[in-house]
Amino acid sequence: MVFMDEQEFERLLHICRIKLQNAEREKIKNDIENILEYFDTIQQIDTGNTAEYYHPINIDERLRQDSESAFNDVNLLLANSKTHRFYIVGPKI
Amino acid sequence: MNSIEEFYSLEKKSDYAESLFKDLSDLNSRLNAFLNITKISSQNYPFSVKDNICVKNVETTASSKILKTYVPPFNATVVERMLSKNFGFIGKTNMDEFGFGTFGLNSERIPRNPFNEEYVAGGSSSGAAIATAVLKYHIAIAESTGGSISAPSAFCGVVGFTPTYGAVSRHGLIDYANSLDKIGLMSRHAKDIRYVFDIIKGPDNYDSTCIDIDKRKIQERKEETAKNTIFIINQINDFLDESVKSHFSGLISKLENMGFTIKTIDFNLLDKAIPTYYIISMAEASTNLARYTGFKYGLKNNEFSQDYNSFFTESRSNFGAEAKRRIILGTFVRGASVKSKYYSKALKVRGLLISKMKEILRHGFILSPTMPIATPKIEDANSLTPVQNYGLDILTIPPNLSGFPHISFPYDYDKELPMGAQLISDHFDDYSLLDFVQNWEDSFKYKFKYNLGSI
Repeated sequence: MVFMDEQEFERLLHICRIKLQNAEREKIKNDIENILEYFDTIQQIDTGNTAEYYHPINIDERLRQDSESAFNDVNLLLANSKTHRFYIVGPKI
Repeated sequence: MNSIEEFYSLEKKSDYAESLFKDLSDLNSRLNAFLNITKISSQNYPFSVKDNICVKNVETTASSKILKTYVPPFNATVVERMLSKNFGFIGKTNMDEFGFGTFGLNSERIPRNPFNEEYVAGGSSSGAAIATAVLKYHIAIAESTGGSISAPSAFCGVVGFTPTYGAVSRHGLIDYANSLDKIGLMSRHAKDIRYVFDIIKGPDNYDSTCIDIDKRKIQERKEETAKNTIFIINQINDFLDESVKSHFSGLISKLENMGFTIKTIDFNLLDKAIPTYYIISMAEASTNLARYTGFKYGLKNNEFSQDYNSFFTESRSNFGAEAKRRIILGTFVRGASVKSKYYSKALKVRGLLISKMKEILRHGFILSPTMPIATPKIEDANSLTPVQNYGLDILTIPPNLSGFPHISFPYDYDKELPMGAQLISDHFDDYSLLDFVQNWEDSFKYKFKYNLGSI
């Protein structure tokens, strides 16, 4: 069973911003077909009215105060990037 | 006395820290346990940190090329709590890239089993397990998403503890899958794990998903797990290799002799936990890995003349093959046209699995071998297909997917390689597991090939 045609696979690569070279592309596409076949086995399970479990346990919603707090090591943070004055340099839009 | 108290009570030679650093560096050049090693003071009990947990001013890459050169400007909460209690940070431990692996093979430097270097150390917390197996005094801060503490603990012959989901703050952890990631511990003794777990657990203002397990246990009026009853799931027999089956039946006999009641039970969802886990974890991983774009931190793509999309695509070619596979699949299963078929369905199966496991855990522990196979050689593990590889997580995935606390402990040796068993208890009942393993350690002596840092 083919889960994804060439066009769909290409669209997916674009969404993920992943580029694959020829040999790697063939291998990963083939792996993905096999894995999706494996994933399909959960369709056999009758989940009835079971809710969707986004977390394995209940966690109360806890929000932080909406207030300003200082981060004292801004220079260390910026040291991870190429900077211009106190801006991070990135690609053009 | 635990080994931490013992360490502080001993008088160390003046060159203790120096020789520990040298011996560990020498051995590490063969075993690849650490990505970097720090010289510590002989006054501090050593602890290591998996490379996906932030340590201030120390390169933290999650073993990924895409994060090379990233130096966090802060400590993860778990690291902060360890340092505040006078523990000494000894280095970052090797792992599968972003935690994607069962054997440690998705790392640039392949970690090797300290009992026999031709064999895998297990993953993804490979380095944490090797470090624990070679250092006499040491505790490892590790992390598990689908079995990353249990699997390497079993292959390297150490105790690996994965607490209830949310018990330990994840502030400063590089996310793989948020609804599954848990920070845990590895040590040579359950007693040491108890001591350190008391330090690192508990709510944190920086992590809204972090809970107080002691309070939750009382609030939910949870009964103690029946400490003398152990359930063995019948369906595991379909997946165990012969040598594991035979050693594990020996363990069951020993436990019966120790006074435990062993019961067998059916659990038909066992093999369905694997695709369920991989759908959820890949979906979450694909969103988490979207933040790696090659300019804010990590390996830089300096081709700023490229347009936005080409720049990102070029930068993201630095992901390894397994990471690429998971990003692509995770993006696919979240797609509008198939979301209900895969992602939503998997979330429901998780709910079903949790309720079925809870029914069993209300009456006792669940025990199984940690891994269905004996430790494989590196070359054999390398030749597995992704589906074969994922299938070997069959025993570690159910408690991870469901957030149940679990512990892997050594119970036997096969051809001089350790074998591990995994015990699971109900949510918030973490200490019952530590009681059990402490009791086990009174009657079974673990073996270690190296004892670096002995005093």
